[in-house]
Amino acid sequence: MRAAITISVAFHFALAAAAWTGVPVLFRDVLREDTPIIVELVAIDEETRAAPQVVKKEEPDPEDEPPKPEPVKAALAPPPPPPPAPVAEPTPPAPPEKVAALPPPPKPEPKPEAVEPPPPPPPETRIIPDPPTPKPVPPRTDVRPRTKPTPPSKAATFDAGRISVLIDKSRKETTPEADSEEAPKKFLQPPPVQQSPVRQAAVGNRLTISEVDAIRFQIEQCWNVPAGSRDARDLVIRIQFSLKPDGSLKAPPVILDRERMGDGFYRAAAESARRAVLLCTPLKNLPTAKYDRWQEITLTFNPRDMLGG
Amino acid sequence: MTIVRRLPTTVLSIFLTAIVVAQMAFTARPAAAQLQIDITRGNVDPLPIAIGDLTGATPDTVQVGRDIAGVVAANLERSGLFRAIERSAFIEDPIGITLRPRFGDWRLINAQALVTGAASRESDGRLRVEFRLWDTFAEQQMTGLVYAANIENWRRISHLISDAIYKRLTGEDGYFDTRIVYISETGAADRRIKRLALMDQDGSGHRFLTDGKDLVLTPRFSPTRQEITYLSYFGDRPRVYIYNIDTGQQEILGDFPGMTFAPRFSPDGNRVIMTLAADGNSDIYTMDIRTRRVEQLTRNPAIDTSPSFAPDGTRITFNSDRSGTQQIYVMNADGSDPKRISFGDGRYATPVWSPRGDLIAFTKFRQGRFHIGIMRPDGSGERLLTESFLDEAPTWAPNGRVIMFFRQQPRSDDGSGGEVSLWSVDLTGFNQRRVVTPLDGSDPAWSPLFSESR
Repeated sequence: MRAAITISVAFHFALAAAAWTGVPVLFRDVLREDTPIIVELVAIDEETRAAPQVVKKEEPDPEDEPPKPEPVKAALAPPPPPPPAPVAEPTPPAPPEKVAALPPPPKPEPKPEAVEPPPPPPPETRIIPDPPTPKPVPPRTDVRPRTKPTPPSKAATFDAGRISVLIDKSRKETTPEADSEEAPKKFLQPPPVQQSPVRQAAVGNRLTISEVDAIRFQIEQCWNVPAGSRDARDLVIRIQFSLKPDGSLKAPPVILDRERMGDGFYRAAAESARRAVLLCTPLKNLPTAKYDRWQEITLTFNPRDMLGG
Repeated sequence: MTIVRRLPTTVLSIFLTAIVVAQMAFTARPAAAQLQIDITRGNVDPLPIAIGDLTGATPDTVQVGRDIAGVVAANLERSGLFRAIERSAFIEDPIGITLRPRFGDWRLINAQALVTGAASRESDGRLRVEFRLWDTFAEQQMTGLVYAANIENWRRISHLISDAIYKRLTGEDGYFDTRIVYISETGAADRRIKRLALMDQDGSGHRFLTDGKDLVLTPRFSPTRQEITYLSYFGDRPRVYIYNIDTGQQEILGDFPGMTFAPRFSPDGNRVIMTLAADGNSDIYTMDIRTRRVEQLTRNPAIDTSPSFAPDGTRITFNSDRSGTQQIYVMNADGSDPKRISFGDGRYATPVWSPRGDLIAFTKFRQGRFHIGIMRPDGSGERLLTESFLDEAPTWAPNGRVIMFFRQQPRSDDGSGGEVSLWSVDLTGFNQRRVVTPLDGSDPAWSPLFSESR
């Protein structure tokens, strides 16, 4: 017992000493590994975008899948009966737009006025669309290997010095993550060299470049950009939503920054972004094992790349 | 001895705890964080929209409901921003105004927006048109409006509905409830008959305002009233006239010693800015329509012409060859501080300030080709939208998003060719379309929104 503890203590002191002295050198090693990884990010990004068939197949096309319409129709609640005589004021699903701005023109002119809201929608619980199940997309085997884990030969031997690297590195990584605005980048770092089982567990639930890229790609295909407007370049919309393990929505997506909804252009753009999420869910090709990494998503929509002029 | 033994144990446990804590921090943090993804691009495909026939209870309201749906669909489709889904693809039949649509049926045919509605007769016999615009994915009503009018005005109702839909879905004002005034041309090149003509922006309701005996040029809409200013050679003297569309009255704006041309209204509609050529020199003047007071804005021996006010009325853009070639300038509304803003190669002409103020459209001649282009009022961000043998005379839709102009085909030696026609193009350079007119057409001018010009 004593011998074991002594050995253990000695071992850990050695480990601590190694950490103390070995860190600078090892860090340089780590940094060197990071550099090519960043370059790789671009390569994969483009490669993924160049494969439009990933999403094309998923578009629900009534003609391609004739059997689908029936079940879906059946699943939807029948429309509510016509409204009873206007006894009680129905709660509007959405207040109709104020049209007071349109002045009633003289005699023969059409005269706009607000329509009474339609009968109340069926109970607050909204029916989440259950679109036709898409044809499974073959996993893109060509993308993953690019993150190229170094052969595990070294990992077999337990290296005490490596643990200290791990500890320090983890602190380094988590700090910027907490306050960084550069959202995508922080998740895009592929796992560095997998040296130990501990390391592997730590990075196992991060999303890889291609996984984040797959989500981005799907959403981009669905987003109808409001272009040509005066302030389109400064347009930033944030949409938040949570997903079920199958990639479908838990609840309707939420438009953040709602105080800006009074601006007609912002509202139209925000709704277009929300439509993109509704249109694109269930999201495909999400790694089930990393569910807790993607169950809560905030998308920041900004069409700056498209409006160069 | 026990102390000695315990101490390392404590150290060890602290150390192990540190490892565990560090690891928890390492793994737990990302799991709790939200996944953040930037979406910086999307598609610019037209938005698929389903426009169901408006329902009606009587044959005439059924007919008018169908006609309105057709006009709305054509309007939206012409904007290039929408794709009206074929009626034959609809799964759900028209449901009128009181029911909620079966959204799933519309999502199945990829409709992102849906229009439903009804036409009926009010007790006084007037037509009552109601419609709702639905977001089929969010399953929400986006807008709902009622219009009442004489049944002959169903087209205007269609345009108003189109504008409401356009505004709700793009966040920008529409431009469907507008008209176009232009010069209708016919006859051989040497005996061209030119008449002032007016039509709705979709080409319907076409009519001629002048009989073609006198040459007419450069019609321009008042931004505030249903009035047109134009140049007429009535009595073989080129003078600027004002034409009231409602009354059909024409009046001469002023009798000047020289020749007046290129008239245009000020944003408040109370003044006309124009070029006056006298003694071989052209300068820019304004005239107050009520007091007839004239003010000279430029005093330069060069040719200054084609003036156009900024929508806030504080500045004026115009065309001048004072630098040696035709270029675009911007000056203050009182004529002070003129600055050249066009510096690309080629010649620039006919600058027109956008109604939303952020851009100036122009004609550019470069290397034997004409272009319609846009630039910011400081001269930056020049973009050419069109190119042809001859493109000229841009005019803005009231929302500053679409430009109309005219295009002439090259004339061949045998006298054929040379046709002129109206075209429109989106600010993005996409969606270039011919505007169909009964005869040849040139020099178009877009009206303000009908509903705002009274």
